[in-house]
Amino acid sequence: MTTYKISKDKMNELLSSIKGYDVYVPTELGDKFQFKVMKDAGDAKLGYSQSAKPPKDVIFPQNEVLMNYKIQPNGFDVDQVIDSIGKFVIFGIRNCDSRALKYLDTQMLNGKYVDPYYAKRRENTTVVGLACNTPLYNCFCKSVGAGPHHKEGHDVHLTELDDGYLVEIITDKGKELLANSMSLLAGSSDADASKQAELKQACEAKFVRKLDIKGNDKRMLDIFESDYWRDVSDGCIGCGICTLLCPTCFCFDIQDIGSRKEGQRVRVWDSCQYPEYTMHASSHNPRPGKKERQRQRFFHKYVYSYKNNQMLGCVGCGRCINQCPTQIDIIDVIEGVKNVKEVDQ
Amino acid sequence: MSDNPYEPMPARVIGVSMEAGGIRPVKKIQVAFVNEEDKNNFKNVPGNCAILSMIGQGESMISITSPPTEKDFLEFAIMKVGVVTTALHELEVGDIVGVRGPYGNAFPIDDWKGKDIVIIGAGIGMAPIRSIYNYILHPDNRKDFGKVTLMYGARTPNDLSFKKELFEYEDQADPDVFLCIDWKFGPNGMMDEDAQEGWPRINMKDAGATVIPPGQTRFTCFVPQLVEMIKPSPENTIAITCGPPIAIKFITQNLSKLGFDDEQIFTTMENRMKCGIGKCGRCNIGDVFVCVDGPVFNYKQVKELLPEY
Repeated sequence: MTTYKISKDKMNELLSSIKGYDVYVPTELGDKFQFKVMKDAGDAKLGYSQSAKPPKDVIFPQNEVLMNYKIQPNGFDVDQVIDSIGKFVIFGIRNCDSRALKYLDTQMLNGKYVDPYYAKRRENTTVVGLACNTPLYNCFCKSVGAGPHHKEGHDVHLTELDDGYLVEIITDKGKELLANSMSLLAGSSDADASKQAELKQACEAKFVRKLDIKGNDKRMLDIFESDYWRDVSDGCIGCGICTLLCPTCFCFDIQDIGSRKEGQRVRVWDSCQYPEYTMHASSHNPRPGKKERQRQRFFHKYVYSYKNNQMLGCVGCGRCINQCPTQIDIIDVIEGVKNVKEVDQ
Repeated sequence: MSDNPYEPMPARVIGVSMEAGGIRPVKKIQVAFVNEEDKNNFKNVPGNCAILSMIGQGESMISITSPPTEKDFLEFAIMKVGVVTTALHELEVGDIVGVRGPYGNAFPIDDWKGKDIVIIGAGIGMAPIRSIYNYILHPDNRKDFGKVTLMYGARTPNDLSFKKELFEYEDQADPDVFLCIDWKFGPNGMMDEDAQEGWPRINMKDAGATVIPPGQTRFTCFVPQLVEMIKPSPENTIAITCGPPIAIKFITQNLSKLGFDDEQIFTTMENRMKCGIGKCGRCNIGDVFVCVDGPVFNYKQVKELLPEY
């Protein structure tokens, strides 16, 4: 790893010098921030707090054409959309969202089958992380294994200092990305490194909310059938925003568009909060109510993922808390399991 | 076959037969791969499922009901319930359908060699386990297994799938076949208490005490009561059951009462699925993805699952 420094006024020049990629940067959208393909370097708002929607959709789009097909007398013509996937940069991703990409890798790339669309997009994406200096009220990444200054999963890591950005080039992909921009970078000093450490400490001290997850997975399994889950999901209106804005949620549906002769097969995001998601053709539903559906969300993130992949399915970004219209608060819910009385089995 | 697990392989419909009528009719569809390469790569074992793909309509996970001893075609028994299955019901011989798979684990049939086999199906639940009995009864494999008993029930005689072959088996000395129906419609089309000709009504409260007249193989009762009445011996026996969740529950209860260990009872659990390859998330029961870790479980494993199925 090599560390450089760039002054703030040269940042736009650096962004403009990136060629051959679709560069996703945080842009302003009303009072929110949104990752969008950069048209002009001035669009990038690197001082942003958190994007409303995580940039996971660069690698796992909300709607993705899997194949175009046409029926023929002897079979199908299938057009491999996969070959036309371009190259992407996610510029300025926070560690909560980049850790989520690492989590998605365990789901989409591990196991008996590899998801070829995800794999191709992931391979073609360069991740430029940006350290977080001011967490939001509901941020709790430090409690669940991520951290505001963590660099895991980043190809290049940026830290905003008073007079510029510290640029750490971590991987070969990162090196390749900045190959044309090296003239804009200057060397960094020991003072910059100590300033970075200071910022990290200061940021970590700013966290308001914390979650103690030790032993929770076992505890949750013990109270699987408790009425606690009914109580915590009582207000849920089933809108699914908690899952649609979650950086680690990966559930999808596959739908066909077109006629019986030719059409498209499209993958779209789906949510475990919708009744149709699990409903059998016989109309039997293993998760018939909001109790079961919210319980599935908490258990998937805090029990099943940990058991299967030794990684929590929650990165502590706090979006599901911020956006829930009925104030279902995952921190309170998971903390609360400690106080649930044993259920009679 | 391409590297893309989402890409369906083209297959041609070579046979269609109506298996059951009613408002949820069942059709058996026989397909053969268009490409020789796909046919050779597709190695299914009893218990496996495949995803059928109707262009422009979508995909459905359907269990493969033909045994692997049938090398030239695959068979699927499809109940008409939704968009895709309705489209599948409209298929005619010569049409093209997409197939991808095979998916899921399998029945550990090799471990069952030398044992007696009891197969208990209810309704459309007979489809996934039909591959087992047709595999075992195949002349090449028959000698590897002991006595084979088939028990199958549906709502009415009209709802019994695979009637043709089951009635043929019924007439043979091997295997033992017992069929049951919930009721039979009378001449006026209404449920008729007295029109049970050939299907004697069983006292449901005390089915175990029924004296079966010699040669009687058809009854009016539920499948769990049929099990109670036939009393298969647990000695060196494997029982395989599939059906609606409520039927599976009482069938396994009755098997346990007869002395079957949890590890002697196998079932196939199916949830709603989309991708079939453990990615789309919906078929999980706790930390288990049914499409890759299942659908076949023994009853001991079923008891260890979280109660959400």
